Amino acid sequence: MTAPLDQASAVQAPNTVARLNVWLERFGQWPAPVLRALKIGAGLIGALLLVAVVTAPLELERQFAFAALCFAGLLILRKLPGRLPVLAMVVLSLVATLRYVYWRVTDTLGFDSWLDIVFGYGLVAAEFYALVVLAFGYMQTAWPLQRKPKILTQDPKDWPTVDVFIPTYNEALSIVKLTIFAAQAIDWPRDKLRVHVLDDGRRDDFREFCRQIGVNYIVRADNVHAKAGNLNEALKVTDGEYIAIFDADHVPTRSFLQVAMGWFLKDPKLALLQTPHFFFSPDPFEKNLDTFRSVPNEGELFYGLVQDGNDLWNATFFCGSCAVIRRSHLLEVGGVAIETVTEDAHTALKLNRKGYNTAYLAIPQAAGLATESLSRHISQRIRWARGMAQIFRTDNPFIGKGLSFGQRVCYVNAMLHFFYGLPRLVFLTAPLAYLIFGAQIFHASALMITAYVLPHIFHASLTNSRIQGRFRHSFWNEVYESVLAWYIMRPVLVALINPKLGGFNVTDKGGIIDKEYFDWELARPYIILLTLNLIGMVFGVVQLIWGDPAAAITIIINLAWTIYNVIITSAAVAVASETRQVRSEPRVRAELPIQVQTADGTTIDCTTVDFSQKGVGFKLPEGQSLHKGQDIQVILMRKQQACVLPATVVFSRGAMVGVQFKPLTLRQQSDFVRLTFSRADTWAATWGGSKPDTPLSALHDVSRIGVRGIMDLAQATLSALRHRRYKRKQAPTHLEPSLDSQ
Amino acid sequence: MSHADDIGNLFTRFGASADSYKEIDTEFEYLEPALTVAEPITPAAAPEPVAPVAATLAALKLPPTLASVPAPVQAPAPAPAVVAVPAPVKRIPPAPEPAAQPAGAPLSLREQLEAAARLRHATAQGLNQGALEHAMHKPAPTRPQASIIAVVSAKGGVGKTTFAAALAKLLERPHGRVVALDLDPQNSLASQLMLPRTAPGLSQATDSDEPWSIHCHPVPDSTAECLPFGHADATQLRSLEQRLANQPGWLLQQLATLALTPADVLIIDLPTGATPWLAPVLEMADQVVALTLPTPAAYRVLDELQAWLAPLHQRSPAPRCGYLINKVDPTRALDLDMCQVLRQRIGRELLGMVRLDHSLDEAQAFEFDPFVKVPDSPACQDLRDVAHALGAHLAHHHQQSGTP
Repeated sequence: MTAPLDQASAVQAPNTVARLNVWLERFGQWPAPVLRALKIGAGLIGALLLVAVVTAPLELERQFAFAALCFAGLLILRKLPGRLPVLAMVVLSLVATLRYVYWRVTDTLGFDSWLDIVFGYGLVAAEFYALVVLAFGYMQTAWPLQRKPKILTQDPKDWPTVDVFIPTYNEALSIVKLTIFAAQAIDWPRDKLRVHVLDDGRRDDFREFCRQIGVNYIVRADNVHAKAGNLNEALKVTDGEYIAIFDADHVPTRSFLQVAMGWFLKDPKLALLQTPHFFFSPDPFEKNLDTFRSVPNEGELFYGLVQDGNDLWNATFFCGSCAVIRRSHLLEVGGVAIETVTEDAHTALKLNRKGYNTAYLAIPQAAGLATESLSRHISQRIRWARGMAQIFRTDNPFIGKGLSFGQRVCYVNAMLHFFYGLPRLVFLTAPLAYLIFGAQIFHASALMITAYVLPHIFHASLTNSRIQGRFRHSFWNEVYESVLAWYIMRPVLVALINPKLGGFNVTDKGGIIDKEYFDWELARPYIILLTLNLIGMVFGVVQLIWGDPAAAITIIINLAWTIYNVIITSAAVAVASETRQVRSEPRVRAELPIQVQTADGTTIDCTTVDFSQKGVGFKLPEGQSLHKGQDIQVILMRKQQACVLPATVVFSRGAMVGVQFKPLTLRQQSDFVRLTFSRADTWAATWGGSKPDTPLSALHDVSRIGVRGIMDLAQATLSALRHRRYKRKQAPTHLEPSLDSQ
Repeated sequence: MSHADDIGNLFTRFGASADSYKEIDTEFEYLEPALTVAEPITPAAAPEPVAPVAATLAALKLPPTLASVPAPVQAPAPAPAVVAVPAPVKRIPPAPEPAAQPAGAPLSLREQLEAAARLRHATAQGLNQGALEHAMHKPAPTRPQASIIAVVSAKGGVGKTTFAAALAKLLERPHGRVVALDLDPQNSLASQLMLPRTAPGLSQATDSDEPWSIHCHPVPDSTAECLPFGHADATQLRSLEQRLANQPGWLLQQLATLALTPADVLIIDLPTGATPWLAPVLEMADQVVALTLPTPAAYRVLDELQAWLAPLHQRSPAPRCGYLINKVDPTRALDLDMCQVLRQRIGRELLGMVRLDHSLDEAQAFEFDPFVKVPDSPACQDLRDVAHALGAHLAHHHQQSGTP
């Protein structure tokens, strides 16, 4: 009997939607001024309501009740699919945060002593920063555009010419080779695809290699303006309508241009299209914490969500690689920007200011090597932070012409993001002011604080977890920021004061860490922070047991905060414990069909497990075996043509076999790249594949890593004490110096 | 337009169809640097100089000696790229000087076979041309009722015998026999079918004036039967050929002794080239399988092969002719291009291709059945496909001819 009813409701649902659509349409047909007035009216009413809700004074119990109500709403919204619930969550979160900040500013700032004032206002400033970044972040990411590629429908002979630029400075040829082969193999008419290697290192082996495989080799007389200068010089000697730029270690897929170019032909004002930077090797966080492909890495939030959100506001940034730029527009803004060390973002800003569009396509169509060691990772981030601060100073997106409000917010937030150094350090030390120094930085009762702070924290975390889930797990942001905070704080402040100071450093990749070590020098800031927080904990516990019982709740709150800080800083310490990297060639997991032929002519069909530049790992079918040292031939099929690669078995256990290639000819190398790294789907298949975020399990993960960090530290301390002299001699080198100062 | 699966996978991710993707697939010309590596990466693709062949036909025909020569264990790396037969067929090659072969490297079986076949082919050519033309005009009196598959080639070493043996094993007749008949004096079909080389064959039967059927041996581990050629010396060969030339109905008489029924299949492995056997066998065949190689040398003698088969099209009912390209090395662009050229030249009559597969050599060397031990090796897969197609055709043909 229920069936007809179900049917009826099923029929009704589309009806409701249709009716709604008709309404909206009719609504849209109203004259523009009326619509405008309506929008402004609705906005005003909303703003007034918000002000009322934010400023309404409530006493403790009512504030608790209000918070509970909002929280209940949040828990329900959390489970609803779709984007409207997300927007509702954002509104609730902003209400909770604004209420907190309003209360904080109006009720809690009656400081008595200088100590209180310093710590107190410091904390308030940090909180303000957090508020702004939170609000901007919501705006930036609330509605990712999720642009789809425009498929090319034109005849290939009408496709535009594309110059592929591969700027290189000091990367090894063995790494850059991959990129060059792959760039050459992009599916684009041969006469319309020109690959140029821009070698700022002016190396002979590069010149010779380019000659052998028939790609263009460009050098210039000096290295002025580093990568930006390199690109600009190449612009002068090339003339393709479009420029695709790949860093020397970003290997494009064969489908890159056919996926990326469609929008350019559709939108004549489109100046830039960026695709994600995808890494097939683990970055230092992933390597040292063993979270590769399980926890989203630091970059994933940016490329998975932030850029996609920026795209809605037409504020996609250029990220220096894996992007296509229209030459005419680029020349109009004077080529790649040279004023700052983040020439890429600045160039995009200039393009946007000129009224050109920038787009983002969240489909990884190139993959590269992540930075190798923590010190290199940090130097790279320092450069970004410095560059963003420079742009903030010299070409602030909030002022100047040509940008929409949304674009201004996106750009400013991207820059503000890098100012997290100081606020993060403030948050990591704030409770110590009370626990150790007894400073009253919060002029309010403990319960009152709880009633206001907790809703703010819970709403912000859960809302962000919902928005960022696939691209950033809860609490990991704190870990990433805590590791970098100390290091980027100074360059950012320096750049804010004088944007001319500071240079450009290239992040060198592809080396190996041949021994396991604890990076004492890099870890020093976190060790100090961790020690301080542990001391604070001891103070707290002591006060809790022997101190004034009236202050117990305040102590507990501060203690909880400190424990959280201990977890985060100890996880940061764990990052500094560099794990040994066994292979210099990172392996890519991929299941591809291959054939293996042994010397006696036996041909075995099998599937790869992973591949690297130097070899493949595969699984043998039942009953087959290969022994170590055996010479075999690996056969990969491209259409009917077989690509045969001679190899030696270097590993064989059960069905799993690893082989290393013998020296390959250029053709074999090229074929291998085309059949592996160039495949269109490998990177897209792994993209956003991390398990979705659940805050509690994320907290568990981070805590576990924190415990490991403390243990690593203890172990390293012990062995350092034991081998003092040895260690001192072996002091690892760090933070590579800037390579060219301007 | 076909697309590799990676594009399909990618495009379905954003709900587009891979049909809009254009495969460009540019081929690049690389200036390969001189290899500084110690071991050669792939054997040079240049044609290997053919070493003067030491073995003579007589030596080849001595079964015990040949049987005792161990088959080369190391598979000859890639197939000898081009078997150099610069001027095809017509010219009688100068008798090769013995011994000038690479020190320590015994000539491979195939090389010896090819050299022998070339020699034989050349001498037989002039002798038999007349006989061929003569015989073509004479209708055969009574032809065996079985379906007859003739395996021919204009060039030696293309794998006729291997193919005939494989076919004998793979053609399953539910209600009939499969008999493989070796008309090649090399007498190698028997060993391919795991019979001793010394097994008596039609040559012995002819000598003792007995019917051929008495030497029809069952093939081990198979339902097929094999009638070997048997060991024959030069005099015996000559007498056989004379018999064939002088007694037009003799071959058919001998085949009749096999007592084949319409449900049976007779596979005839012919010697390379235009021997006296060719014409009578073609005359009776229902299906001719002509083997060739994707090599320029084989291509040059393709004219010859097509010329032999051309008259068959006028016969009624016309037998089916199918060309099979054997030993295709998919790793060599030249082979693939040759296949393309051959495909254009042969057209609909192309029966299929069989990939180069060293495991067949292994099988011969170590006397195992490749279809049992390495059933999924490339050649086994291809041979199965061809045998299947032939079997289906024969069944069809059998049905049609069985109706009247």
